[in-house]
This record gives sequence, structure tokens and C-alpha cells, in this order.
Amino acid sequence: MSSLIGASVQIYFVGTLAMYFLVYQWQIIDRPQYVPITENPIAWAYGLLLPWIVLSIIFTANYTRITRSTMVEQLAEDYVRTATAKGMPRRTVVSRFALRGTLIPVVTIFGVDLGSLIGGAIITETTFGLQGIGRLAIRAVTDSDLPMLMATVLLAAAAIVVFSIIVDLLYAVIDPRVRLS
Amino acid sequence: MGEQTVTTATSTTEARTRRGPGPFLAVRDLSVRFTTEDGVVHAVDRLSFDLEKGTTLGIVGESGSGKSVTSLSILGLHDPETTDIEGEIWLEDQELVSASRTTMERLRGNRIAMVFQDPLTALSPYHTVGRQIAETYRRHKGASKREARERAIEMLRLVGIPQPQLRVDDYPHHFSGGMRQRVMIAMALVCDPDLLIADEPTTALDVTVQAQILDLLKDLQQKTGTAIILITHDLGVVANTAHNVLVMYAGRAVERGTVREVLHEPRHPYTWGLLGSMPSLRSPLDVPLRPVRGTPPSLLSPPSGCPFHPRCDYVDRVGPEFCTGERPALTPEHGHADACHLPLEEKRRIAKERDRAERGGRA
Repeated sequence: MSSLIGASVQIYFVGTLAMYFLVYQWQIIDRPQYVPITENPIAWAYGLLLPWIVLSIIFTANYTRITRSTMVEQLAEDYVRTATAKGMPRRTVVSRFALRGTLIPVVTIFGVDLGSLIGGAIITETTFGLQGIGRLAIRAVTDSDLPMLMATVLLAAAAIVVFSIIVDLLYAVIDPRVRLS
Repeated sequence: MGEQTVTTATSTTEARTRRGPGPFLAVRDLSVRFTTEDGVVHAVDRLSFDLEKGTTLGIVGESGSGKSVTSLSILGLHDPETTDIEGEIWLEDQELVSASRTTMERLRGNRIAMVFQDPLTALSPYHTVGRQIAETYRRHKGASKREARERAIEMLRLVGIPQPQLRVDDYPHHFSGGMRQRVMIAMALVCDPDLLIADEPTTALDVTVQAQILDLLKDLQQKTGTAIILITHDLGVVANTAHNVLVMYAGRAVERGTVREVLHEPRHPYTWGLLGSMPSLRSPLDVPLRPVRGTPPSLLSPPSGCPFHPRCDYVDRVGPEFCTGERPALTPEHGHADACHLPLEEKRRIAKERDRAERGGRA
């Protein structure tokens, strides 16, 4: 249920809410700002903490839903029943057998997500007023800055390609049937 | 051989607390019902049977007659939320229907093991066969990793897999269907179970492999003295491997006896139908097979009285109100028994007639 809400709301909604309450109302956390990691790693992490949390809320919801629906399918598989039939405790059956099958779709989506995040999280950057690759790309579009636009698109594309390759390699680790003999 | 009724119901109350020396496995008045969107499915209805150590019981019947459901209830594999199980299943002095989850987890794979129908999907594709066999052994016998691995290799050798020390690290998809079923059997037998349930172990395999697997089961039974429940719809398999037969129809036992009794002197019209629908090597080619007419009943609303009456050719010999109104009991209590309202003499006569008709067709 909460994952449904998480998957339905947008970053600018959660992000704005988080900014409003955590930063301005309750003042638990400072306003997010970018400090280069080379200057002060702790300040860098602290400055990006809030965007990270908000992004993970949105993405976690998605993964929860995928894991749940795949898990339901997996639990009905014959080999999961076999595991129960040979006396494996419920916990082992779920974690060792059923969960293994849910990894494939989760890893697939994770690769695509990670790739597109490297290419820039436009809405998140805008919501928190950060100068990231996403906003750089937007500005390049509005300013007709073609070399800059090419660079950002190239980076995004490369990120997605790289992570897709990593995902493909992970398939072989997860599922022995994919391995080449 | 009178119209004596089955008296197992009277023993239910005392049996739950205490049980004297009885059969190794005793199923008493087992009823299994599933709640579905369409209503309640009466998958198994007051089924009772016994099984002794070192013997094989063949359970035969059409699809949906409750064979698999029965075996799954012995292992307690039904989802308790949608399944309603009544009756008792005794494995020596342990009652299984009311046993706790942890008790069942200790028994499964250890004292009761199961071989499933489809070896292609019943093994985990993500783990090596050696690991799948070894983890069962480790769980129940507390063996070390190395001991369990040695045991897995030994089991693979026992079921006739060549080069077991190499194949132990292979994944199920490296094996053929027959080999995978051998792996399943190795996995089931790794803890020397007292009871092995084989649910159509050869259905997914071709005929030569079938014979090998059945021989393997027979061999292993002689070596270990395991009791086997062999679920099948193939009467040939039963004739080859089983000692006793239980014929099921619509979730009930309709005939029970030794293989000789049931296959050579069948008493129940449904058993006649099953036997009559089998091709025979000696019959001429132009005699058509006689299928049992009609279709199996819906278990959402089983027919009243004898569940077989809508498909039975002999209803008029007893009087239809008998067959539709009153459920025949499995009589007599011991030995060759069947659940039919026809008088025994009449049944013997019809069986002979049918037999002669078949032979006559061949002449």
C-alpha cells in the first residue's frame, strides 16, 4: 500500500514536502547544497543527503512492487515446493530459493535506473536547486548550446550502455543457465 | 463377505491420543477441501488406507481423482489458508494432520520424502545438484559440508549417474529429463526415508527411461526397506511395481486390494472401465478401445450417492435410487474391498462376462 503511494507520487512532490518540513519547519537538516567531494567529503555527503533520501523513497517503492509481484510467482514454482518438501524451513525456502528468481527483474531495472541517474536527475536537481548534469542538459537545450548538449546526451547514453553491460554480466552470476559453457 | 460397514470412524477419538501397534502408515477418514472462488472443492472425501514398511502402494485414478492431493496432505504441503483437512494420518505414532510446522519440517525430507512429477521444473535451476542433495542431508543429519558432499556423490552413484564426482557440481539444466528424475530420487532418498511418495514419477519421461526409473525404485526399496506410495494413472506401472493398489475416483477409494486381486478380479465398475480402456498386446488391431464413457465429475458438487453412478453401466441392475441415494462403503474392511452396491456374486459374474467378451473379440 505504502509502495503504491511511493510509486505514484513524483519527486517534486515528495522533495518539496521534505524540503518544507525537514529544512524550513523543523530545521532538522540544512538546505541541500553542493560541496565538492575533494574539498570536504563529509560536507559533500551531508549536502546531498536530502536528495538521496527523496530519490530512494521513490525508487524503493518501485523495487518493492516488482519484488513482491515476482515473489508471488516464484513461491508457486515447483522447485520452491520441492525445497519445502525436503524439509527446508520457511525462511530458507524464501531467502535461498524464491528470492533468487526475483533478482533478475530487480537487477534489470536497477541497471536502467542507475544508468539514467548518472545521466542526470533533472527533476531532483531542480527541486533541490542543485547544479547537476540534468540541469546542465536542460540549459544546453534552452540556450541552443549544441556541443554541451551532445556531451550530456553522450554521457547519459554511455552510462546506460555501461550499466546494461554490467547487468548482462550479473545475469550470469545470478542464473547459471545464462552462463556460457 | 457381507454388507459390513467400515468401522474406522469409531476409532477416531481414541486414536488421536494413543495408538497401539498398527500399520506403518495409516490414513484414516482423510477429507481435503479447498475453498475457491467458485465454491468448495471436495478433493478427497473420507479416504482411508494403510501401508506397511517395505511395500509399495499404487494409487491409480483419473486426473482430478485426488491422488496428488492425498500425497501432498501426507507431507503437509497444502496452503492452510485455503485448505481444510480433516481426518488423521499416522506415521507410526506420529499424527501428521495436527502436527506443528516445525515437526513437519523435521519429518519432510528426513522420514517422508517425495519425488515430484516433472523433473524439469522440480529442481532449483540456481543451485548445483550436489548442493541440492547435500543441503537436505546437512539439514536433517547435521553433517559437515564435506560429509554431505561425499554423501551426495554416493547418492548420485546409487541412482546410476555416471561420473558422479564430476556431475555433482553440475546444474540441473546440464542433465536430461531421465537424469534429472534420478537426481530427484537421489535427493529424496539421501536421508534414508521410511516413506517415499512418488507422484507420477515417470509421466514426463519416455518409455525406456520410465522402465529404468521404476527398476531403480524397486531396487532401492529392496536395499532400504522403504515404503513407497506410487501415484500414477498407468496401470502397467502399477502391475510392475506395486504390491497393493488403491483405485480412487472423485476423491474416494472405490477399490482396494493386492495387485493380483485388483487387476485380475476387479470388482468395481470403474476399475473394469479403467482396465477395459487399456490396449492389450494380445488383442487384435481392429478392436477399438473402450473408454469409460462420460467425464470425471466436478468436485465442486460431487454426484450424490455413489460418485460413479452417472457413468456406470450397471446402475439398473441395483436400482437407480440405491446408486444415487446412498453412498456405498468400502467393504469389507480388510483384504480386497470395493465400494459398489452390486452384490458380490453379480460383480464376479459381470467381471467374467466382460473378460470373456474381450477375449471373444480377439478370437
